[in-house]
Amino acid sequence: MHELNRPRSRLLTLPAIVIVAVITQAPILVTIGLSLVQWIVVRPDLGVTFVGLNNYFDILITRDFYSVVLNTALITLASLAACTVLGILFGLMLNQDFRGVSIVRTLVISPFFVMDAVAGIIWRTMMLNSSFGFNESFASLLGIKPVDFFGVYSLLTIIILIVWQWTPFFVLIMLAGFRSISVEIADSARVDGAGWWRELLSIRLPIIMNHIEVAILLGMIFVLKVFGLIYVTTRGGPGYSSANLPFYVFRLAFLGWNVGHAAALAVVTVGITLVAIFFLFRWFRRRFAEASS
Amino acid sequence: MISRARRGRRMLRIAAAWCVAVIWAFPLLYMLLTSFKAEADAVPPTLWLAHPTLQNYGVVLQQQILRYLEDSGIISLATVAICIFVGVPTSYVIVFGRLKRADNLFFWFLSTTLLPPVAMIIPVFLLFRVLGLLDTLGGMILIFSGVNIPIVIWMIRAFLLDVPREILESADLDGASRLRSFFSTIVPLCRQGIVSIGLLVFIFVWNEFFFSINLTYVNAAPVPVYMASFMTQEGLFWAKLSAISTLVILPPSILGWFAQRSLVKGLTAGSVKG
Amino acid sequence: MRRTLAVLAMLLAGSTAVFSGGAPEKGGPVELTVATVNNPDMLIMQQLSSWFTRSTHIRLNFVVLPENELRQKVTEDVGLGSGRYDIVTIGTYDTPFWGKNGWVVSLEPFFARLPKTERDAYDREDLLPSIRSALSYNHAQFAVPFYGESSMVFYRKDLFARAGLVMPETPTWQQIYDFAVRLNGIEKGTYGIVLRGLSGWGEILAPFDTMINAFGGRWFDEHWQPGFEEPPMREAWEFYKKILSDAGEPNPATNGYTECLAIMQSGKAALWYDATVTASALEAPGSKVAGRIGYAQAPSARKGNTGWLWAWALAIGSSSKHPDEAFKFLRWATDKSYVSLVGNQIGWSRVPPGTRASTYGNPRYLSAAPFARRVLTAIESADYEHPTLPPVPYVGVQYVSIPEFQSLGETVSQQLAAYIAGQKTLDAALADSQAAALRVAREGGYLKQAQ
Repeated sequence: MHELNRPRSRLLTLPAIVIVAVITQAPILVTIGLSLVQWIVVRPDLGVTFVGLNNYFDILITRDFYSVVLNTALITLASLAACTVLGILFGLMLNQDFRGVSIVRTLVISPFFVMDAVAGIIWRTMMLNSSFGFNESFASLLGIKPVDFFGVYSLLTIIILIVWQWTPFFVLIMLAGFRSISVEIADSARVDGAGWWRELLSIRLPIIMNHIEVAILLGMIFVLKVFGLIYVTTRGGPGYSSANLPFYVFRLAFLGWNVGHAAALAVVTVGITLVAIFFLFRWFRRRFAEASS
Repeated sequence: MISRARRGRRMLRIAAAWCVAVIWAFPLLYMLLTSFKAEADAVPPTLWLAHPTLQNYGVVLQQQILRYLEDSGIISLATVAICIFVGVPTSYVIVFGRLKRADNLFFWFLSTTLLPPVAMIIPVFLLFRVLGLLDTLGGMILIFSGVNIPIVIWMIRAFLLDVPREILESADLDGASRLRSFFSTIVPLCRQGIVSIGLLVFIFVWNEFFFSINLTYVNAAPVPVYMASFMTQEGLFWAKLSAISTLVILPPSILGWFAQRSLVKGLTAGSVKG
Repeated sequence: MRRTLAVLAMLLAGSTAVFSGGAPEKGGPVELTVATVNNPDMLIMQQLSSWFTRSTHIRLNFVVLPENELRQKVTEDVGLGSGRYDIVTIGTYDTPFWGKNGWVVSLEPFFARLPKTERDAYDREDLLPSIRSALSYNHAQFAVPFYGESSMVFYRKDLFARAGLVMPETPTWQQIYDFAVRLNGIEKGTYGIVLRGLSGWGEILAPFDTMINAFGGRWFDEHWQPGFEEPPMREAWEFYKKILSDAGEPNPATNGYTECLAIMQSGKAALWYDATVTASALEAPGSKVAGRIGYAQAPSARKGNTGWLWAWALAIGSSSKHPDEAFKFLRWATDKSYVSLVGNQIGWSRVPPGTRASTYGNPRYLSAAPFARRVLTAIESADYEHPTLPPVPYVGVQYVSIPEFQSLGETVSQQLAAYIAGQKTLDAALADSQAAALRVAREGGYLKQAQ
């Protein structure tokens, strides 16, 4: 493996670094620049003026900002926990071989194929609408009032929708991991007399730890960026009760047309996310280092 | 010599899998059903097709959908190709190349994906405007590649780390050149991983709504733009929306079918983890 | 290595083909890019646009989007300096400040340049005056309407007859409430009334804003102080929640126009107050309630003439390179012969409503659309310039015609939705709305510092 240290091999990383750097860092720099100006697109008469850190102050003194951060944290933690658990369980379930397993697998990962805006509309109208969705049918069957999913339980409903849509992502990764475990190991554990649960916890999960790591790290980033589902169902409401940081950015950028505020919020969002990812990443590094030693 | 009990448990497990699958996919199955309903019947939820019709498909399958499908196809496939060709070797080098700051590089790649698309739109729109990339296929491919390469790098990493040590060392001993050993040994082992990731990137790009709408006009408009015109209307539209959604879901679903079949094949015999 | 280079070379070659933008060839036929909304009338226009191309050899590229996305996209296009749309579809809300910002061009010079015969044929005076003035800024017209609406009450004649009730031509909100409560549950699963509950300044605020006006409330007083602490405003909030909880559909938070239409069309509601265009949908062949719908004017309270006013219109982007050709299309799409074209090709019940007085004098239209006269009355009586009882510094019936309203309206509608869902008390919702409106008034420079 020492031969890979040759500089020529390292060149292989260059295209990726260059493309990604240019495409993702340039917008971040522009965003930081925009966060220092006042620019309200629909009021060109007010002009574009440099205002330093005022936009950041404006954001940080708004009470709604803090509820949105709290919402984002709740959505992320709850969704990640549910997705991870379901991803592992479904991954195990789909790891069997039987006739039609391909269909079963495709069905389970199908929510992932739908545009999140369309998924949101399906849930909002056909499933959970209180006047003509399945929600109403079940409610009248049981003789109760239909549940106000998008009104009173807006945050919880968003979490449920996110879990519904993103569990397939986790399932794919976990399933790939489980498939890579040899039959011999699984059988040897069974011979040892280990129960199904013990086998899972002490043998299978540690083996697929790097899969779990990828799923959680990437999953967290995706869930943090969820926007389409919220846009089409609750629009962040009622109030700001189901708004997350990306949706709040949208409100500022495309309804308020306040580019400065939106950019400042985007920078703050990236900052918060960076910190969260950093700690999670380090935690995984430590655990993985322990496991492999 | 499978005992009755074991067979019974197995049947139970299979039945449970089917139940979970159907319940989980129910909203989409219902959407498929609705696409064959007359618009007036679409709304009160019924599992019964009173007047099955292909009318909705007729409305959405206008001639213009072809141009959107074509643009989406080109953008998605080109992005997947770039992401795989650029991302897989990169991941390989970082995982096995004994680079000094491998972890830092990995973390950097991860950190580039943090800016939400919603926040990226205005800066990217301004940049594209200056560079003349608005409404071009190339611009879309560029932006989607930049955003998805780190994801490919990360996911391939997991599959590369699964490759057993013996394989790596045996390839080393052969004296084969680094690149050749990479292509002939490692890649086939990760083939199902690469296929899965290719599929995931394809889905991300195919379904991506916000960049598609904001950065294109008429020349590079992908399918989400066409779908948007069915998303809210002054009249009832759910049956039509179901029809167009079913159509749009078909390419990713078909690819998904193939991808999970390749996932099933597992590692080749003789090179399993020990 | 060599293989890699070969692949890279191929990619490079391919990419040059793919990076070239879609600039039309010079000297070819003129192509116009039209950004438009996906309502039925525009879809019909798109369908019939081949007639335009045939006679003028001007090609049209349509970008069709729902209202919110359209507004986002065209604002972004013009506001961020891209200016790729020759023709944009904007509403009565957008036109005044789009004109003020110089984002669309004034149509006055174009009309002035028309030869007399064409000017007479187009007959600007035929365009409904209230809509024409709503599409103007500083007495210059910036857009021409292809769709106009107001609001009115729709009720189930059969259910009213069964309960022995009679709907007056101009009901009050109190009467509507009483009717709704009487009719609630008269049939299993039927609501007394269905009203929009989906948050959004173009959703719940459309009917609710007219209720604010009817009760004598206002968004801002004449000095741009927000009016959320005034008693009539408070009454309106309480009333909207009350009528929904006592006689309306449950959990209205996800019911926008389309959902309400679904509820009414399937016969699940006895009353509905919403856009005039609904009449044609309710009477359409697939509707379960066709022939059983009665109509009345928008409900009043302390103030009458509360129906709202809205039009979708075509305007020419200021950076368009083909303004004359664009103006040709604007004329074609909104003149009398287009109305006849729709009537003959598609059907007389589908002609563009709410734009021209001559449409409402056309016997073929009147026989195909029996509700037409009432719609005309609603549009003509809408109080666009003086929407409220006490004086206000703004125009607009169901919105406040300032650019910041997109955001302010969204915020306030969210507060309303939170109040209706029981997530917030009325005091908290009103206080937050007041604070948001105050911030808008200050930051937008409406409220003078001295105040």
